[in-house]
Amino acid sequence: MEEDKNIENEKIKDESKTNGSLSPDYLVLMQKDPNWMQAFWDVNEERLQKAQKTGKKLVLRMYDVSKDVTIRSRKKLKFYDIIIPWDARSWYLQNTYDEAVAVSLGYTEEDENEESFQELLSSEEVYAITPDGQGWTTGGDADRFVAASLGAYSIGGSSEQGLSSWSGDDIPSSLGESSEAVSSWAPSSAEPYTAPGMHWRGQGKDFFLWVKTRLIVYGGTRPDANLQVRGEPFPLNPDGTFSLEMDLPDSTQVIPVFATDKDGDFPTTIVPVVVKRTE
Amino acid sequence: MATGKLVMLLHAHLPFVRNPEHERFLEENWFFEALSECYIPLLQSLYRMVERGVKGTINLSLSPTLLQMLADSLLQKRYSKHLAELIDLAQREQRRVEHDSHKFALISYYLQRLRSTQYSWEQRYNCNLIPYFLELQDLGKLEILTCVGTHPFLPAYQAEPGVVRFQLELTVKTAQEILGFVPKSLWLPECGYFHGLDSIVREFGFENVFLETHGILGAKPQPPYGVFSPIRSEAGLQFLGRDQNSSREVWSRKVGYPGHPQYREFFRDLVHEAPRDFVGEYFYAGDSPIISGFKYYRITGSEDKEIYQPLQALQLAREHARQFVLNREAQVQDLAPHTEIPPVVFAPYDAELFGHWWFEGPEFIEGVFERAAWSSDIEMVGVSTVMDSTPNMPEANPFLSSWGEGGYGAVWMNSQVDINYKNFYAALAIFRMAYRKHSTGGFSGLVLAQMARELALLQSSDWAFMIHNNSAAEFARNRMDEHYQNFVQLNQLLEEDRTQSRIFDKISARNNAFPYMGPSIYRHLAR
Repeated sequence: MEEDKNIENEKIKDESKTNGSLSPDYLVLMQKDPNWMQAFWDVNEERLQKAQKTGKKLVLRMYDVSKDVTIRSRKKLKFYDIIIPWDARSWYLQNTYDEAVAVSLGYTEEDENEESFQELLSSEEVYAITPDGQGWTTGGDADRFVAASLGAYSIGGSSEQGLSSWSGDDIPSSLGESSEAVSSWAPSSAEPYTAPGMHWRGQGKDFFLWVKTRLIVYGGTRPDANLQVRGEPFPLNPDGTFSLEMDLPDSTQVIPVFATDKDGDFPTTIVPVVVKRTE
Repeated sequence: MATGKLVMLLHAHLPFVRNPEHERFLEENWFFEALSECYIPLLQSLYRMVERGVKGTINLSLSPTLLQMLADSLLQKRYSKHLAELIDLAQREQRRVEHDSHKFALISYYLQRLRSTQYSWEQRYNCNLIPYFLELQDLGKLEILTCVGTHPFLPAYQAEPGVVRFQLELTVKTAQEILGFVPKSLWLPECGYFHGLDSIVREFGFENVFLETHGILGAKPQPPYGVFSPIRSEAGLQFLGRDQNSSREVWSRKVGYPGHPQYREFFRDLVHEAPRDFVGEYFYAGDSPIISGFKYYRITGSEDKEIYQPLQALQLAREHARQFVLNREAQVQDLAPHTEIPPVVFAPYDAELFGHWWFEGPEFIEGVFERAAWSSDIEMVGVSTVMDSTPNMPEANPFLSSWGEGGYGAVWMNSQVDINYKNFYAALAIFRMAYRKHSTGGFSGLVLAQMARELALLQSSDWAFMIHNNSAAEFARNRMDEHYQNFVQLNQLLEEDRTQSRIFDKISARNNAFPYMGPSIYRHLAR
């Protein structure tokens, strides 16, 4: 107890620096899955305000650096711009390249203009592989081994007693859908995963196709605001941003997003309506 | 020579939990439960097979955080005390249920097991299991692997290879210090893989890693034998991919063996049923009862649970083991005519499934060994045996993958833990500045090392998993926050050019993992 008291008495000289947070500049690009990446960053507020006063637009510039990842200046590389709000601190990016990508945060007079772009931060490269890059050989033994790898063979046992017996319905239908949430000391969810929103169509043993969809809802408000998504309180990140990712089955999804300021004033509702149909 | 090979792998890992400030700390019980139910029974079982001359090898990945805890004298002492408390409770429970013949028989069964565990732990293993895992490796029953540092989900750090190198250097150093050798094979946390990881892993001398099924199936060019042959990437790293059939038979809640009605029910424990004043304060943390492991019921198949019958359940585990091996034989018989390489079935599981979640699991493993020992179609082998005996393995570069829900990063990279990554990358930027500015010797060197420790512990994939599963989620959030706040305070000590600090003393006494943390390891964080 005496020791704890001494520790409490140990003062750090400049307490303004120990507010439990750090704010250096960084920009990180993270690959979430073959289709989506997330960029998030922190940039000195003064620099950002100075940039905003120029009247230009804040953009995330996504580069295809697969041709030469050693080019640091990133000039003459293929890129595309995404205009983002000045108060954004993270953004989802659709992965359209099939090799190394990098992203810069900067401001420009008009998007996709190489000359007027002023860079604030840049990320390291990430090797992104899109599913489009895949090309399976099918037929003959190739099919046999793919199907067997995914657990397709019905083998032995009695399903009544919990022994192994698999029908075609049990077969994981696609890459990325055969996994189970297994790990750690928390209760294992050792159950085959079948994603809602996934469509599987087979035509005999030589061909298959799967298509699935996911929905990302994201936005931002004041960091101290109260936010509800679909009527439920929803947590904000410290910078006021939020994001929600979900499977998207065939349906009409109505997603009311409701916010007030910290005192409950300025009630504001935005309702994205997303119609997903598979034909 | 057998038609095919079965590579059964148990991944043993727990997050680093050790709290010297409290006599009894709820989450330390995870380690104690794993010792009683998983690790000690596994050792006992493997020694029995050595004594009986049963052939075959199983692969065991021991994570660096688990190795730290296994070697920690405070946790060793606390586990001895824990065993004594459990035995005392069992003896009292015998008196409480002496008129209920079923429960009396069961608690007597648990008491007998505990006394055997206590004898093994204190008399045979001298409170440290590590030398005995090593001995079993020498005897050919085990092939020991290791895992990456504090179990980070590596695809989250793809943009910062220095962070991956930091964790791998920590892995190598931990293996050298605690195991006395560096295994050739490495378990990637959550089977998380991204393009380019192979060349980084090779830099540290590891030869073999393991992937989820689609990591292999999506490799370029397409591997000709699916997951039934190892592959080698351009960087020279060798991969085995998970077989889905052998996985489902054990993991699946719906059709997997552990869900059989005869097996022991996990969620009904004595501490939930007996009064608090009987159970005693040792089995409570605040108002939360701490699991004793004394469970009276079987799964039954309904809410009206029937009494557990251990002998029948253990016999069933043997029957399931027989079935499991038969299925593997059927697989390799079917595939062998179509491949030039003997088919390899790779069956990885969390080690803690066997004994903890699935009480009869150790019996199942022993049964698999015994049934496979006389099979002419399948043999249980170590990873190295497979890799060394496959000189012409297909060459291909694997695909982004994990074994988590959805197959990619959704479990460990999502909006619930976004803040964790923002904190980590902010702290990383600060660490780089601190590394350039301050000496790695003297007190500042000690502080830098502790900052690196806090960063490493912050990276454990366990925290995100617990939050995702809403299991011990508050503890996980607190741990992430604790490591970040410790980092902030330590950085402030550097900023103020301190030469000593009680805050440092307290933090470093609590989070004392990896005592060899130093510039040779954390230099990687500085790129």
